[in-house]
Amino acid sequence: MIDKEKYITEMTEDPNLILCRREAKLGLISWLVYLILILGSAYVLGYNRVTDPLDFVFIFPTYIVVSGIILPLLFLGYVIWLVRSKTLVNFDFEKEAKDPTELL
Amino acid sequence: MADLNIDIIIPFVGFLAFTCVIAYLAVRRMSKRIAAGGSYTSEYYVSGRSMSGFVLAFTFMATYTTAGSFIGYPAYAYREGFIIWIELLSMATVAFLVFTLVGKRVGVIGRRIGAVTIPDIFKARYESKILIFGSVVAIVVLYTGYMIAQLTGGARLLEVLAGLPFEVSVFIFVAIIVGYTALGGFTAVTWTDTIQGVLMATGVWFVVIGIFVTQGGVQEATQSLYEWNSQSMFGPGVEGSRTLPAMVSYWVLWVMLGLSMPTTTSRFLAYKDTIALHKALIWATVAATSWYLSLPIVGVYSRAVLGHDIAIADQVVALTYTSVLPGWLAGIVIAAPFAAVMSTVSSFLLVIVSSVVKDAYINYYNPKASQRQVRVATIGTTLLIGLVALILTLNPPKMLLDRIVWASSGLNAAFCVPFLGALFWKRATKQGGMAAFFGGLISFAIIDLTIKNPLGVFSFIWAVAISAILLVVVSKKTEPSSVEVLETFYGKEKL
Repeated sequence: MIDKEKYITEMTEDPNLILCRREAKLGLISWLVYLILILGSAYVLGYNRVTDPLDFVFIFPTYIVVSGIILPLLFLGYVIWLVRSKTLVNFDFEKEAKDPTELL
Repeated sequence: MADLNIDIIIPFVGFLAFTCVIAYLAVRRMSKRIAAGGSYTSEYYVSGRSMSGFVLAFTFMATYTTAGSFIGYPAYAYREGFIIWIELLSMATVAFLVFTLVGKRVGVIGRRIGAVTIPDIFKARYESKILIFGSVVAIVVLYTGYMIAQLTGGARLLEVLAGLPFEVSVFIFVAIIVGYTALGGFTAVTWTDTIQGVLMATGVWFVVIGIFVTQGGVQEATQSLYEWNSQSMFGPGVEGSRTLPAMVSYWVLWVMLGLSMPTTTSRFLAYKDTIALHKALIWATVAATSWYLSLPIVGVYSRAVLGHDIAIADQVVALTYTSVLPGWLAGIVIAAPFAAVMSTVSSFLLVIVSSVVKDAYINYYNPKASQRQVRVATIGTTLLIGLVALILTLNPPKMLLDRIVWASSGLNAAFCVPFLGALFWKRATKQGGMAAFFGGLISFAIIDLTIKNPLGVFSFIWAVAISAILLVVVSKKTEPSSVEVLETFYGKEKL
């Protein structure tokens, strides 16, 4: 009779699973940081304010320029960098079950 | 009946004709691949797992984006002002989070177990017939309702803009969508999604330019909004609905929906390789940033164009388009919301059909079905669901539909946690998966019907949290999954 609790802790994991878990963590943390930055900056610069004359940067209210234009473009740049720098790793689906150790 | 608006009808017919040509090419490609020895099931449901990055990006985003984003959100921005801009940007991050969280993992597992639907993954991981049965019934009933709501919205817009009778508009939508979905399957749906997605990403910018040209510049238009109501510039908006907790809730809600909808996550069963996935991540983020930056601009500045007397805010988009663009160009650009309707409905239809045919008919009734039998069942089910959708859309049981659209949020709450558990957590068990699925669905219904949005956080998010607690607690109290399941999903070698 196999002790499945022990089996779970001691089994050799698929290296692809380890990679996917790492990228999932990276994605989640990046998203949370972005969420805090965008809503935080919008709250500080754009909530409960009455300005006269209107507080423009270029042609939009300041918080729209920061939270609504600059940060989304920086985020887009970050996504492109993640792919181009190969931080997000490529692997071959056909080989993953045969020789996964070469992926690490 | 309103007069027919030829300026709108001619470009719209052109858009439909172009969609049909793309669908025909997709059908031809699928037929060739099947003739060359490909499996009908694999080709029809996951396009032979050969989808490119560009197609993956646009089919994902076009499926995720409903008519609500193109019609409803500009209407919110008309009422509340600039703060909706920040809220809508949440949807520009959906692709990033969903791709990095589950994109590769679904691709790996899909190939290991030969999955062509998300319930296939549930079946292999949780080995529960009750869970599969529950998910199939819920998908068929609730997503049919959701599909009808989308069709109704699209047909009503076409009725207002083009003067076509509602019944004719519905028939046109259903006939074309059912036709290309039945014949061309996943390939036709994803190719047409791509064309529709490109149209959605570019079309709205013409309206943005039109607004600023007619208003004499951006600064003048902004100044006129400020003079109307200075709170339209800031949070929490003119009506004060976008408080900080509400904004956080919306951000979490929209990405969780992307993560838990079988229509979007099933796309990851079909891409060619991880290079395609990474290209798709960039394309999807570029496209989403483009349309979620342009939509709030249209909504906010529509007040400068239309004034302050629009009683029905949902008409803001149509009125703005026709006010700032020449008739023929408005006719082309207005196809964007229709594209959003068609891409969403076709994807829902495909998921419903795959649930009936693959998850119910093949899995439980006829496991040895021949390719011909699968083909007949698939086309027959698509036509049947299309007919049901047509009848129900023409005679919409209003209250029932409202409930169904509401309940489909609960269905997404039900899918989210057991789906992530199946992909990543070795200790998740059959009983834990069932508790999380049914617990998420039921707790959403109870919370939303009783205390609704406790502490200002949406009921959907509470339901997902309860579903997660149930998965952990029940799994810890029950026997772990079999060694075969553990090795197949998490082990070095597939047993």
